[in-house]
Amino acid sequence: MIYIIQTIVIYSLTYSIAVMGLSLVVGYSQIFVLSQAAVFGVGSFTYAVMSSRNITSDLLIVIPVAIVIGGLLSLVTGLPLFRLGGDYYIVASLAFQYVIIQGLVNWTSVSGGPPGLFGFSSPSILGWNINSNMDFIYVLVPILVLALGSLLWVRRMPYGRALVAMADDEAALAAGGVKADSLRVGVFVLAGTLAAVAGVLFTSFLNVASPGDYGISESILMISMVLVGGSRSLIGPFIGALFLSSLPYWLNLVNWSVYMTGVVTGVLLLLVAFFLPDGVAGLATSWAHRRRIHGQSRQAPSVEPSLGGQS
Amino acid sequence: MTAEKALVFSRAGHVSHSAGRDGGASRLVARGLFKRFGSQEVIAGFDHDLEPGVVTGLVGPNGAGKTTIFNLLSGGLKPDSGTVTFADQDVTGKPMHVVSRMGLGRSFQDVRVFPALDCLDNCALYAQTVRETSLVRTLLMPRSTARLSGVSRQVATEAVEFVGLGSKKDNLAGSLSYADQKLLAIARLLAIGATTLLLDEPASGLDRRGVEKLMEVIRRLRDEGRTILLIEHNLDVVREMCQKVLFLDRGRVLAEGTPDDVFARTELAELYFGA
Repeated sequence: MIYIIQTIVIYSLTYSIAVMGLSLVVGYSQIFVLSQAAVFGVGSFTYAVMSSRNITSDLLIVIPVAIVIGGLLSLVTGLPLFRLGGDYYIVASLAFQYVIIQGLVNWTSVSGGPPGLFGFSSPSILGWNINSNMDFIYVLVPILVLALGSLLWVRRMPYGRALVAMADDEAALAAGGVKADSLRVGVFVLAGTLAAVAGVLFTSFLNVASPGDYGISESILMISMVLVGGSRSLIGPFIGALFLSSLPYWLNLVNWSVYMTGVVTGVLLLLVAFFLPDGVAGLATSWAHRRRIHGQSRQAPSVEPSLGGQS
Repeated sequence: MTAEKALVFSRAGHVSHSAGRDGGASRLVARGLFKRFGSQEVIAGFDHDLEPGVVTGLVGPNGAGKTTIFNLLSGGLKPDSGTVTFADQDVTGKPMHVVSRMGLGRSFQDVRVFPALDCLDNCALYAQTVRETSLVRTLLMPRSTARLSGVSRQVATEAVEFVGLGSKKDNLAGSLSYADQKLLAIARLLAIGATTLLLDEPASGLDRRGVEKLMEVIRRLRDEGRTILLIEHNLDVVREMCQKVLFLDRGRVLAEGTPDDVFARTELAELYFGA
């Protein structure tokens, strides 16, 4: 039992890191990205290749390498954002998803082809071998805190203020001297680097990397985590990751087939789309907001504007 | 004076100091602007020099092309022919975010404040520099970013106070009255350091008190030597504020002169009021 709980924690922490940046992309840039799993996969293979070729398994080296590779890849795949507005980018990102994963599948000498790579040495940090589940949690928590801290920092600084403004009105933002496209590409690259870091952690834990695991369905799962949790709050993706990454376990608990995961995810997405546009975290925010309004006297009815994005 | 304070001082100067008095620095010149949308000729030859320190009114019936002229002047919309020069630089069709940083600010007919940001942040956003808005700097040079952000907030505070919204600076812009939102829209232009302000119907939808407040702000801006071009349907405001009026109809300037001269011409009044 404790083993299952630990595994659930590891999965949800890893996926939280992977989709955390995506929340800024979806929530503020309002673009849908279906290539997040591909970048996650590239992070995975960065570790797999470096470890299986005995280059190094030290996370302090592999993670920065993955950040550079994931960042550059995101930059290249993000550049079309300058030309393609919102909805059209979905198609472009879908294409990138396919190209990257097919590239990995066919680059057999590096990726090991469709079966991928497996059986590497366990990861380490400065000679400390990370073996047990608890060890992994010790590694994941500070990385998560660091990632969350950076995102909170970005949100508090002028860049984050511009993001909030961009979600409301791009023309008024341009009149203020800020170019929306650059902001978009910025958060997109940030989201990509975090996904690549998560990919390294994921593979170092699972000890296997196979291109098929990072397909389009994985990308949809990742964006579902953001939407179910709530795209305009940073705690939202964490909630989404916790629930959706461990969904197979919960289904197993009630004796449902693991193959029902997709169905349940789909139904959840529909429910969120209809009833909770700001996700589960948005529900909490609006509840707190309503309490505050009721707490105040009735003479201030003008404080009604959408606070959903504030959290 | 420390370097930091000097920075505050020089940037804050945008808000409270005479800005365009030296003339050439912020002169906005339009030459032979033509623009058609499809087969419709919207602007059919617009020539004008905006004189520094002068409030010019752009009037005319709906559909005359007033807002299109704003879009051509403030960037973003490329004319089919003709040029726009600002501060001796060719800015024809340059993107709005570039032109506005040069000191050519514009407001919108439908106000467009950012409802989810408070008043101060609305202005600080316009005051923030390119360096502050860099994601790489935000992450790798947190201290310097925080310092620059503080400077922008100071500039923003001055701008908010200039238009008399100091007591509401922490209120969300979306919760402000329409009149206050309009003032906030002007404050934002001060925050970006606009020496030339294009104001699109600043008085529309305001009651008498709102209009009074607005005129007071515009008057002070003019006295500081800023250049102002305003589109306005409220002819009392035009008469009161503008030293010069351009009467526009179907993309052409039909008349140019002092408000009294222009409004005295009966054929224009007929065009305007559809008599």
